[in-house]
Amino acid sequence: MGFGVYYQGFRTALVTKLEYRTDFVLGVGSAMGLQAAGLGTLWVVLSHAPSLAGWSGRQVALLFALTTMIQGCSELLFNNVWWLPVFVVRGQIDRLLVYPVKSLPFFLVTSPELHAMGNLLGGLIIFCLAGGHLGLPWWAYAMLPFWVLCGSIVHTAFLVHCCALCFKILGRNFQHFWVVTVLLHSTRYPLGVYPKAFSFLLLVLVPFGAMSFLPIGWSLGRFSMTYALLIPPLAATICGYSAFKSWAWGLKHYESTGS
Amino acid sequence: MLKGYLAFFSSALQAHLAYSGSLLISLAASAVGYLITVMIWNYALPDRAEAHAMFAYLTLGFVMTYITSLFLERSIGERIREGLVATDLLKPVDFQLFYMVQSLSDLVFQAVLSLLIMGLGALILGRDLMPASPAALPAFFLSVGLAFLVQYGISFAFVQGIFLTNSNYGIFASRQALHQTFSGVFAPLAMYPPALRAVAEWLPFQHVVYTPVGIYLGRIQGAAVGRALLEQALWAVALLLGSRLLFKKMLTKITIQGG
Amino acid sequence: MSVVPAIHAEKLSKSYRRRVKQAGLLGAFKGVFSSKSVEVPAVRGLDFIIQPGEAVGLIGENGAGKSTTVKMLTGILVPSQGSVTVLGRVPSRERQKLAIEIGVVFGQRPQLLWDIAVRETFTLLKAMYKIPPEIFSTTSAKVVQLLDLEPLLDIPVRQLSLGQRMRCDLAAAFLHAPKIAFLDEPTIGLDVVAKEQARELIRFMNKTFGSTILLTTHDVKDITETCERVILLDKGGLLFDGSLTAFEEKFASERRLIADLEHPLPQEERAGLEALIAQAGGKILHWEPQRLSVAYTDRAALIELNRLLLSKLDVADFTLERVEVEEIVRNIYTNQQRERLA
Repeated sequence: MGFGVYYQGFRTALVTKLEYRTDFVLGVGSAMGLQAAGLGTLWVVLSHAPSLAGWSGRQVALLFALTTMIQGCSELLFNNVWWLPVFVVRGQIDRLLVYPVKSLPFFLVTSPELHAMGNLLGGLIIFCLAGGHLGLPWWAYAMLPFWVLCGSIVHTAFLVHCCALCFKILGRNFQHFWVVTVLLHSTRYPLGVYPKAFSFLLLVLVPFGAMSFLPIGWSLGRFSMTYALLIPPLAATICGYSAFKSWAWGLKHYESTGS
Repeated sequence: MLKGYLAFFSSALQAHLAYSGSLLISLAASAVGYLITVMIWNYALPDRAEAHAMFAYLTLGFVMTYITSLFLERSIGERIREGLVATDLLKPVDFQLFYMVQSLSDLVFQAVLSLLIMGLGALILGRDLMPASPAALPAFFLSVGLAFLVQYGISFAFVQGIFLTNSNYGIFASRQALHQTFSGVFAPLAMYPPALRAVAEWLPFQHVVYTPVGIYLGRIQGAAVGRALLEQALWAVALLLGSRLLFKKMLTKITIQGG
Repeated sequence: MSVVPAIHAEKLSKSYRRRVKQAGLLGAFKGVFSSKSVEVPAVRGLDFIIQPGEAVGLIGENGAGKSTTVKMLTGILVPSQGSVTVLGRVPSRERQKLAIEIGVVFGQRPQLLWDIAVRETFTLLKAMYKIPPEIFSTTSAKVVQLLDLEPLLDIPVRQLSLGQRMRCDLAAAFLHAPKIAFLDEPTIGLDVVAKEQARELIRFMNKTFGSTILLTTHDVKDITETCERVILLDKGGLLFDGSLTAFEEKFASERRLIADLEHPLPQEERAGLEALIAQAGGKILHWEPQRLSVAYTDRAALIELNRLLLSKLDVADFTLERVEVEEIVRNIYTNQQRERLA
C-alpha cells in the first residue's frame, strides 16, 4: 500500500475544511490570539527574572516559536488523534478497521485542524523576529521544517499512547491528552529552569525538550551540532515506532461497544 | 420540577464515577500543568518566603481551576455538532439550567476530590495552606459559588462558537489559553506587567481564580472584598444573560445539522 | 471441491468481560475503588460454512450474537475460542488484507469517516480499494441509480439524514464489488421505498458480481427477498442453518384451510365434526358461526379434510393459507421468550 491513499485522504479532508471559511479565519485568528496569551505568561515570568537559566527573553522566544510550530504541524497532519475517545465510545472504530489501509496513519491524517495554520504562521513570525535580532545563522532557518516535523511526530506519538489508554479504559474524556500539551508547552522554557529530574524527563523519557531545546541551543551556539542533528530524527523514529506498537496494543484490547 | 433536576444531577454524577479511570488521569493532567508552573516560579523567585507564598497561591489557584473546569465543549458542544440540540430543546427543562445542573455535579465531585488531595498534599509538604483569617471563609465560599457562575457563563458563551466553527477543540483550547493567562492561575495579577494587568482586569477570567483565592489568602482585604464580590456577581449575571441571548440568536440563525 | 469457502467458522465463540456495576450513587462510588468483572458469553460454538456466491441471512433476537459474529468475521473482534477463516484468511490476523476484498455496513452506525461530500468519499474509496475503472464505472452508476443518490452526491456526509447516510454507506460497501458483503442491519432507518431499493442492490451485486452476502436484519423481508439460506442464532448458539424453504418447512410445517359456510353450523353437530377433523389430521383453530379454520400438516391430510368438509357442510368457499416467514420468526422469538420466562 503506497503513500498515495494517505495523502489523498489528507488532501480531501483539508480541501473540505478549507471550504468553511469562517472556520479558517476564526481558527487562524484564535491560534494567533492564543500565542499572544502564551507570550503573556512568558512576559510575566521574564518581568521577574530577566534571564532564565542564562537565556535572554529573545532566546526564550525562539523556543516558544519552535514548540508552537511543532504543535501547529501536529494539528495540521495528525489532528484526528484528539477525536479518538469519541470514536471509541461510540464504537465508530469498527468502521475504520474494515478499510484496507493502515488504520493509525489513515486515522491521523483525515481531520486536519485549521488553526494549525495560525500556529505555523505565528510561530514562524516569532522565530524570524527573534532570530533576526539575535542574528541566527541561515542554516537554523533551513533546518526549521525538519525540526518541526520530527517534533510533531514525537508529540503525536505521545498522543497516540494516550489513545491506547482510551481503548483500555474507555474514557469519554480527552483531558488526559492535555498532559501531552502541557508537557509540550513546558518546553517553552529553557530546561535549566527545571529541577534535574524533570529536565531528564523532557530530554529522554518524553523528549519534547530534546526536540526544541537542543536544536535552538545549537543555533545559538550553546550545544554541539551532533545533538541537534542526530537526536531529533532518532527520537522521531523511536517514538513513531512505539506509537504503532501502542496503537496495536490498544486495538487488541478494544472491544467495540454496543450491539 | 426541582426533582427532575435532582435526578439528573445524581445520574450525571454516577456517569462521572463510571469513568473513574480517566477521571483520575484528568486530575493528574491538571496537576502536571500546576507542577510545571510551580517549578518555573520556584526558579524565577529565588527568595524563599516569596516562593512559599507563591506556592500557596498557585495551589489554591489550581484547585479553583480544577473544581470549576466544566468541559461544556464536550457535553453541549458535541450535541451541537451532531445536531442533537433540537432534541434537547424538546425536553421540558431550561437548556441553560439543565447543563448548569450537570456542571454543578462535576463541581461537587471535583471539589471533594481536590480537597482530599490538597489536604494530603498540605500534610506531606507541611506548607501552610490555611486561610488568612477564619473571617475570610464566608466571603471565600460565596466567591467560589460566584466563580462557578462566571465560569459557566464564560463556557456557555464560548461553546456557542461551535455553531460557527464545528471545532470543539479550537474553542476549548482558546478558552483554556485565555484562562491560563488572564485568570491569575499562573501568577497573582499584582505580579503582572502593568499593561497585561490592565487587560486582565477588563476581562471576567480573573473572577474564576484570582478573586476567590485572593480573598482566601488575604490578598484582597477589607472593603476590597465587598467590591470584588460585587464585580464578580455583576460579571456572573452579565455572562449568564449574555450567553443566553447569544444562544437564542444562534438557534434562530443556524440551520441545525443532520436529520 | 477445492473451492475455498467464503466463510468457514469452527466452534466460533466470543465472550466479553463486563464490569459489574453496583446500583445507585453509593454503588457508583464503590465502583471507583473496586472493579469486579464477569465473563459474558455472546457467541458460543458456531459451526458453519458459507460458499462463494451464497446469500445468507443471519437472524436472531437482540443480543443473540449477530453483530458480535459479524465483527469476528470482519476481524474487528478476536474470537475467544474456536476459529474462523474468511476467503482463506484469519480475519483478526490479516484484517487489512481481507478488508480490500470485503464490504461492510454497520447499520447502527451509518457513518462514513470523513467530513467530506459523498462524491469525494467515493473517489477516495476508489483509490483506497484500488478499484479498476471499469468496475468502478459500473458499480458507481448502479448504486447511484438504484439508491437514488444523485441529489446527495455533493452534500457533506455529516449533513445527511440518517436514512440518507444509510444509503450512502450501503453504496460505499459495494463500490469495489466485494467478494463478500457483511451487512449488519443495512435497512435500519430506511423507508419502504428505500428498503426495496436496498434489496434490489443487494440482489444485483449477488447475481452480477457474485458477491457473497451475509445479512443480519430485524426486517425478515430483507432476507426473504435477497437470501436463499438462513442461519438462526439464539443466545449465541446456532439454532438453525439451512435453506429458506427448509426453514419454512421446519418451523412452519403448519398450513391452514379456511372454509366459509353458507349457513351457520348448528351447535349440536359441532362435537361430532371436531372428532372427525381430528381423525383426518386437522386441528381446529377457530370456529366462527360461518367460518371454520383448520390447521393441517401434509397433503394427505388436506385431501382428507377437503372431502370431509365438503360432505358434511355447505361450503361456500375454500382458502388455503401459508404462514409467512415473518410470522414464523415472530413465533420463534415469542416462544423462546416464553420458555425463558418459564
